[in-house]
Amino acid sequence: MRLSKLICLTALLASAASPVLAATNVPAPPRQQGEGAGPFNRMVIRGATLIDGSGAPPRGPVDIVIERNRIVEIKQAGTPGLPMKDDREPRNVDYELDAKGMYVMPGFIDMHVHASGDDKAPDMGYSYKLWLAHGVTTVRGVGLAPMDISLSEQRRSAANEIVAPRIFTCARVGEGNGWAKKPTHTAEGSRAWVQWAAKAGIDCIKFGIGADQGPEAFKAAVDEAKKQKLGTTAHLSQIGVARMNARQAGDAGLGTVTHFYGHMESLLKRYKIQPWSTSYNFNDEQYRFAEVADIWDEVYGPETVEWQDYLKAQLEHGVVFDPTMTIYAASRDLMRARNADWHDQYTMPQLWEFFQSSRVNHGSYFFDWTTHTEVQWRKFYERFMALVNDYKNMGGRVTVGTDSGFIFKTYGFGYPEEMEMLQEAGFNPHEVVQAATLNGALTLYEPKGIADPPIGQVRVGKLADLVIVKENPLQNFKTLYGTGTLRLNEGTQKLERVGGVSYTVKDGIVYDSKKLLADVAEQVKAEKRKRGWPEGGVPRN
Amino acid sequence: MGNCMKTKSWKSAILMAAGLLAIQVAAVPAKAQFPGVKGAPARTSEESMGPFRKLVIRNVTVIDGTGAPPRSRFDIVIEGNKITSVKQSGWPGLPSKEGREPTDADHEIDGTGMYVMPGFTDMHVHLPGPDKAPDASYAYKLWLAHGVTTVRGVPLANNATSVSEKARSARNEIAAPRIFNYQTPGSGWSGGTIDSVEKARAWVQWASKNGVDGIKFFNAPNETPEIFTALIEEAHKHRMGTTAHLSQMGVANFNARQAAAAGLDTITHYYGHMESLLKDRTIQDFPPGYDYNNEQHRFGEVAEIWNQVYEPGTPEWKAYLEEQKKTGVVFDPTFNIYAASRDLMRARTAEWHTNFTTPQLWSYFQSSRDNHGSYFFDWSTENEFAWKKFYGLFFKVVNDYKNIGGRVTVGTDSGFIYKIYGFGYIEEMELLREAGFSPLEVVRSATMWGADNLYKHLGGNAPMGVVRPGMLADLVITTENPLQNMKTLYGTKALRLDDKTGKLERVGGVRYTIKDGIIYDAPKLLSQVEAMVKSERERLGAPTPNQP
Repeated sequence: MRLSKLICLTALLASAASPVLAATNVPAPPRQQGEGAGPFNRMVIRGATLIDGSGAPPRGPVDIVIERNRIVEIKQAGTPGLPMKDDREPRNVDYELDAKGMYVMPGFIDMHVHASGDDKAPDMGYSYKLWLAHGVTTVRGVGLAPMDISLSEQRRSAANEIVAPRIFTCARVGEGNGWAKKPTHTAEGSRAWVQWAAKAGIDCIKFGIGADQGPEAFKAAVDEAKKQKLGTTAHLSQIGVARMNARQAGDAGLGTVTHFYGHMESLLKRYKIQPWSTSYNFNDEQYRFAEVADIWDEVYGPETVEWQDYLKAQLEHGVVFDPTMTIYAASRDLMRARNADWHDQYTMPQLWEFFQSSRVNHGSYFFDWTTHTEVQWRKFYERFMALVNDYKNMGGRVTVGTDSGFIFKTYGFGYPEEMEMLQEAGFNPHEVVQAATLNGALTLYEPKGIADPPIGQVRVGKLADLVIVKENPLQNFKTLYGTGTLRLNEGTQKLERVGGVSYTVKDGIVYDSKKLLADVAEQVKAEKRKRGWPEGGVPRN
Repeated sequence: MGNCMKTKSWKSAILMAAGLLAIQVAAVPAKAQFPGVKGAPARTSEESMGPFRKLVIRNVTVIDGTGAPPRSRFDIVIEGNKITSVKQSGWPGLPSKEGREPTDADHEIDGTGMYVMPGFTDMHVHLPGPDKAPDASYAYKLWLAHGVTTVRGVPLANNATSVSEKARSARNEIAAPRIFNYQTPGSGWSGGTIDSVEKARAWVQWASKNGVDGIKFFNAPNETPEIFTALIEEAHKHRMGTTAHLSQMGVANFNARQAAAAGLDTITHYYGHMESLLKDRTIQDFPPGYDYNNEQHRFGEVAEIWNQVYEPGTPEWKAYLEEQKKTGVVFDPTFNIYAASRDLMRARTAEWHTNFTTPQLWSYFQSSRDNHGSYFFDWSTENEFAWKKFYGLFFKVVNDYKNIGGRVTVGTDSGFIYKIYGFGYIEEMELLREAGFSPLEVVRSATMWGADNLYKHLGGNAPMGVVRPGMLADLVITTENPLQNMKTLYGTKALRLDDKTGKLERVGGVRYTIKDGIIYDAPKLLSQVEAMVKSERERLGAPTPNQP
């Protein structure tokens, strides 16, 4: 998704690009007393089954000892099938979390986010809380908000002044108040910006090849980013993809290809440019998002040499795939996305209105969405999923990103959906968890020259970022949704909702995830009252 | 969760009202039991008019059901219950002449801008019992409102009720589609269970004299291959058709290949196809804890067969389809009825539940160990994954079969697993599109191919299923082009942005369904069903469907 609602983009968008409404980003309110417990001098999480993020199988029960924000010890607490001994060491702790029967994973990493602007929620805290409530302890903002706000929120989160995941700031070339909109459309200009932005403290660059930036400026920026130890990720949109597809971007040294753009364009069979219909207009989003899927039939298929060659080339360059499959999923099944369980309670009225089809709101492109368009998208997804899965099987790295806040996707809820879609693509549940944790961490820290990242694994010495859940997530990722999953209660013979994350630990601070969700639900109700909406549900056509 | 107490009480009310017996005989599928289906009340002039001495539908675009492309514009003349003329009334881009013949019609429909197709045929239906709806009109009206003018009951209800409802529909005493009455072996007679070839033949002879049009098989334990084969043979002698759900109970000894070789006319659902394509094994790998009567096992495991079979394009795959084509067996996949298995949330939150699902039916759908098809005890990402894979393969079987010249029909089986009568039909059309059928191929399956299949053993050609002079006047008339978007056929219509108001609007829906020369006002039928649902909710104190 392009971040077209954020004012930071105005400088980048050519006059031909879609109209941009001036939304602003309101920083999250300060963390209040009682929001999260800790950090503690010493805390122990007792008796959990550990899924450590590395791809190692689950093991347990273990006791995990945390001092302040570090994991200092992981001890076997017993043997499966036998009761655990009481009074296990250490006893001198400030806080004990009884996690018997529960599962612990590393905090999840969302590699593609934008925070809620004021056209979607009162402040950015709405998205932060929903992320944390779904176990997301680190986000890569691409961008989270305009660069200056992102950097400030990043610092506030690092100091735990706000209830928020860790933030990594990606900025777009030319962004930043201090840069004062100096030109970046040349190689020299974009290189100069990268040097300036690195000093300003960003972690990475988000590329969206616009009409104003040719391949030279892109290549120079990627090259300079490496020198400055910045990460790079690109949405290779249709506007620039004819000259910079994913293969070419990989050759140029790009770190991550996000979304699907650029892959299929590297595999075109009969053409070098996708054969769009003659009435195609990029700024008419029904064309843009309906026809994007039609490419599935124009590319070399999974069994071909060309398909293999493409993936091998990307693997050699170490390009990361961040498919964000969830964000376009409404395209293959609009009714499902509109009626998803979580909208009634957790989708802000502003956000709901933003989702409604409109020629102006980005990603609200369902002007006349037909059986045919959905079928094309299903075919497209099949291809895309095969590509991502083949890449993983070849040794390529795939991460979990969501891009929620557009196209009927609500923050946080998009994360388990992405996990489900990776499973649908062919990842086994263990591979999905690895993609959600270790793979994200490696991708965030490698550009900095750090091969062994401090997050992404539950291991001694790592930061205390954890997800603690009652249900085995490997058995059913649906248990990770804030709305839980349905299960028949054999005692009552009624369906019940089970699951949801119990605790999210970020930087040694324990958040009660259910409480976070309740806060959000209350906030949503309050916003509905302001607008005179009924408190339950959302208006549906 | 908040209205748990309330839920409990209204559910008990339904159970008491229906006088339901929850006990199921192990081998008999719940769907084969139809406790006390109540027939429909009489047809009224509120929802219908005609037939007419002469009726003219003016100026429509015709999609004739044969696979021919749409053509415009035509005046269709109907006399009584027959189409007598289909005559061009104008050219695209030019106005039609005024005062066109015939000018002596008793009734005219201005179909300018509209589309006409043959009435749809639903090849796999059951009526709702009192555990699902107050009476049969609930399903009939939803079928008619979605353009369905003919149904094959497999069975519709028990034989006596089916025979009587069929006759009432034939006389147009009720607002209902045409009915074909298929029954399971042994139904209706007093001769007891079919446990021998002789008894099998005797039952068919009895059935042929007692209003049965065909046999529905279930691969029940008493339907041994010999009995099954004898039943088919005897059925054909008596001009009866056959369709089979080749359930896991018997599929090890009678899969789709064997059944077709024995002369079976239709394979309904997916059962039996994959079992004919097993690779490196002859019985599907069931895990050691599998129990068929535990429906989470039954429906969770069924999809796991997807990676135990020969893949598309292999010689074995092709040979299977070629063999089936030689026998002329028809595939009636009923994709929609199991679609909740690949995406439970979608099925539960489908938009038609709000106004069109009776509280009884909603309650029936809720997971329980004894309601058939309510098998979502703990439905996981892993289950949905397997079902998505399974659907990928099943789609391919059906689409490849069509492409080599095999015939495929549209059937629904609504009333189970979150599927609502009528709405399921349009979903099935969408799923055929997803399987790879072009829109015109979907319409052909829904019309001409269904009709042909029903008349295969009746001698002569089907009298409906095509818009052509001489055919029965069974038609669907829509305001939107169904080929552009099949979603426009749903009773809840399709969303479209109105560029004048900048708001989404709902467009489409069937405008008129004509059955046997009688015009049914589809929106009126829908509003009657809505009123029924509303009054049942009030009577039972039931909430509008929401999440448990």
